[in-house]
Amino acid sequence: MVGKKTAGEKIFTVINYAILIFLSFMMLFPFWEVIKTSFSTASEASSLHYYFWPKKPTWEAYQQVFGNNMIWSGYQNTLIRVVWALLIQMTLTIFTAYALANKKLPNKKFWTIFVMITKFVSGGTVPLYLLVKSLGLFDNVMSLVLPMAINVFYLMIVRNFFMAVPDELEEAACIDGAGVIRVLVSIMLPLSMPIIMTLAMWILVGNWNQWFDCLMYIQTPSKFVLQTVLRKIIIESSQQTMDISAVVIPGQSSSTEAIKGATIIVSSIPIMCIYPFIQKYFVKGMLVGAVKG
Amino acid sequence: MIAVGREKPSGRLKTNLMEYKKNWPIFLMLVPGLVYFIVFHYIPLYGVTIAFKDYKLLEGILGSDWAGLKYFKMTFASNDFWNSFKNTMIISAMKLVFSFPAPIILALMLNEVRNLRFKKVVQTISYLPHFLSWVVFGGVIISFLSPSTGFVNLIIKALGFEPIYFVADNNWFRPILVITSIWKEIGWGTIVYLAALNGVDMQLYDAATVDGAGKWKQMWVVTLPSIMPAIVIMFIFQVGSIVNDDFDQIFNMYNPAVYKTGEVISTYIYKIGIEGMQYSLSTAIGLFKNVIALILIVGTNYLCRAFDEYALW
Repeated sequence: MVGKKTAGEKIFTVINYAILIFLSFMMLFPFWEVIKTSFSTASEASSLHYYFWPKKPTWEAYQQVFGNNMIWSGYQNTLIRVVWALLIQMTLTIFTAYALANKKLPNKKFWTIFVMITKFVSGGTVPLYLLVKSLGLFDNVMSLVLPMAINVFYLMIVRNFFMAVPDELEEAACIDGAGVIRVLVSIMLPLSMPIIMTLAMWILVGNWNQWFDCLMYIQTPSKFVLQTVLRKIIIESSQQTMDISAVVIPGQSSSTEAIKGATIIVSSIPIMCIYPFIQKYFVKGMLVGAVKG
Repeated sequence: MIAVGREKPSGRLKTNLMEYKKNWPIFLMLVPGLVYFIVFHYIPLYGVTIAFKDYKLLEGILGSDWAGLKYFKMTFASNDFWNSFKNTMIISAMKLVFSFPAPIILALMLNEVRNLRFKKVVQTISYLPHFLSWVVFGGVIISFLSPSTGFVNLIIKALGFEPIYFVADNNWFRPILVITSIWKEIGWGTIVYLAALNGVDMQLYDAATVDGAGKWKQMWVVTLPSIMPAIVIMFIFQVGSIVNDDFDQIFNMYNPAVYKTGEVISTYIYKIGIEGMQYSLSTAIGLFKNVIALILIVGTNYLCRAFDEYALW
């Protein structure tokens, strides 16, 4: 830096920090409102006067939420889905990426294009829906895992990572008599740990947050994933009451506000807690994608 | 025998087969992936033919009768379709104008922060909504904007105005979509620009300072030109996806009161296709949309490549 800061620069710095603090506050504030409401009593939650802190914090709404079997089954179904997704989607993506990265793959260019094309050309919602239906996957957790088993964008990033591994390492292993699986497991994977972790995180968060496929393919309410249960409770209930007559009738939606708040908190706490620690994988993945894609 | 000095086609096939024979383990690893792409991408692609058929569930795709362009004619004659098409374009254009610059501005502001811990905290906070689904975030927004107990309307009422039912008001619904999309993705959108800002040569700033340029001037003559390639490429991509509306956002925030301004192509397809079971009609609409999207994506990819080459020199 040349010389001292001028007065103008100081003012600029102060304003800049002030705006950023304000933005961060605005980012979190709606979430605070939900947390606050979830701990409020029914009458306070429907109060027409603003309060920053509940006067008599209560677990009432949470008790009701935890007493709701749909929430528990939702959690369970989401966990099952995530575990299946991690197993199937990771295995398929890694195998395919490894094959496409390998120089020895016959017709390598053709197969790469064969796969890449699906990123740009798709049948659309309805043909896929009819396919899943005719495969008999309705109401089965596989309808949530298989249709998006390989994401082409992730696949290409993993493939590029594998291609960057020096060929000599692979050749040396082949001379030692290692088969393809052996090379993949003992050479490629350990060297590609950062991207494998990124892939796992993408699949984890992506599957945790998915709700649309469950809305289409799952009909039995006890098989709904958490996000779909959440949608039933907080979105669809408000969409139904959303006509103008519902405006300004205090007290009517009293405890439902608190329950909605508690439901939102209960179902998003896991992500809110882990995202600060896993964000670096996402940032890395996104930058790799932006550079190479 | 026929072409001298050229491999016979059958000969080429033979060497090709030899390749597969020799390297079968590696091809075997590709097979599960190929099966996946054939089943879940190429078969639905074939399924698009139902746009040209009178598809009946019981008769299947092959058994249903051809209908020619009937469903395309129906689509283009439908007011609901044109309404959803118009809304998609308007909402995308609004997002292009207002949501696109937001992360650039935030990135420029973050770039000026010298306290790294503060920067990290602001970044982490701003990433939060990106990790939540639109179900959660939409729920948070709907309660924040609630006409009876939501914070925004409490303020409006405290100031002596009538409460506004933002998500059920045709005048407000589109602006709310734009604002909430900024809210959700502004932090995440800074990543690409911050990476570009990291690459700016510090000597340029020193030179500008010697020339007497203040902070503001430096931003215009050094910072912005340096990250211009990133901005242009992101912009081209955004233009390229203009017909791809944000289904998750709109589907979780809209309601019958705002169908007029909020119904977009993807929500319309869901409504008539999955809920209304008009499979052929909705597939025709989807096909129309996908063809436009494909043309735009190929076009913008081409533009990006052209720009990339130009930008290098």
